[in-house]
Amino acid sequence: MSNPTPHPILAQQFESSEIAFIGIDKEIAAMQETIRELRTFRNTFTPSYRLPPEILSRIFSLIRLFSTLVPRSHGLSSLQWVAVTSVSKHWRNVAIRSPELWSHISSSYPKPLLQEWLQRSKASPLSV
Amino acid sequence: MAAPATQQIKIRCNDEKEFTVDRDVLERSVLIKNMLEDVTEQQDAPIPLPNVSGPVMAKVLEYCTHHRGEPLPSADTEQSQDETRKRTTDISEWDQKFITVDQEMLFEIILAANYLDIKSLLDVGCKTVANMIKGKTPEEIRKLFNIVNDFTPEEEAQIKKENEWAEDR
Repeated sequence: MSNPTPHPILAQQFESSEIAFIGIDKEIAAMQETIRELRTFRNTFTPSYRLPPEILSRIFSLIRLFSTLVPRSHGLSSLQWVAVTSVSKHWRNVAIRSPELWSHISSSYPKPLLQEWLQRSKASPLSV
Repeated sequence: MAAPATQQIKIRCNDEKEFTVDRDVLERSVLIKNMLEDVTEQQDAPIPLPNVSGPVMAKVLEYCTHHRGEPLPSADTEQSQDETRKRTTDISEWDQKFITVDQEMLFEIILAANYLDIKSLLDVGCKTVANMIKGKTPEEIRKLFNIVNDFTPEEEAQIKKENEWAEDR
């Protein structure tokens, strides 16, 4: 049995739909990027964004310290402070560029996590 | 015998608001202390503080007046002060009441303390913000500070991966 040959008109329509999809998807991606950039720009008007990175980093260090002092019975993980890296692009960049934050490691950390933290801790003295 | 008169210093904020303050109160600010030490002659012109507004300076002065006379951290004790700061997570009752302000003012006080180099006030401000954040999820933090998620899909994927690693430990 031979393969069915698509009707020439249908084949032409399919080809143009494919082109349409590619074009529309590109448009959607560009619009999504514009929205993301606008969201970043919007964030620059919020009070926490006025703080210099070293002050924001200092606040993150205090949160890290607090989370290590809170007893486990309070239901908080000692890694709870890492939430600051998931807030926004700027907060994440400040946290990742603060080697001191990543220098307190534990042997119980899974290998990929440990590798990531060691990379971020740079030349900061490690505390295990 | 009358007590020697305290020297009064004039300062001018970025909104032209002026304050006349006792020198020892102003010297809680290392920036102003150094400025005053550099001036040998009596100066009548107000010290310009281009990075601080009147309402924020009024709050800063309230703090400095309350803490006047307390020892300032010296350069030698800087490192040990840092250690102490890290160990001490609590804020005194008066400081807590003082720093109970709206978010806009809180961040302005932190910026002013940083500019004026008032370490203890900077410390109170940073601890207050840290206390507001601790224990919250990223979404709760965003809501608290009016921040929106601006991560790319690639960054979101990386964060998801890191969170999974952290849960595995």
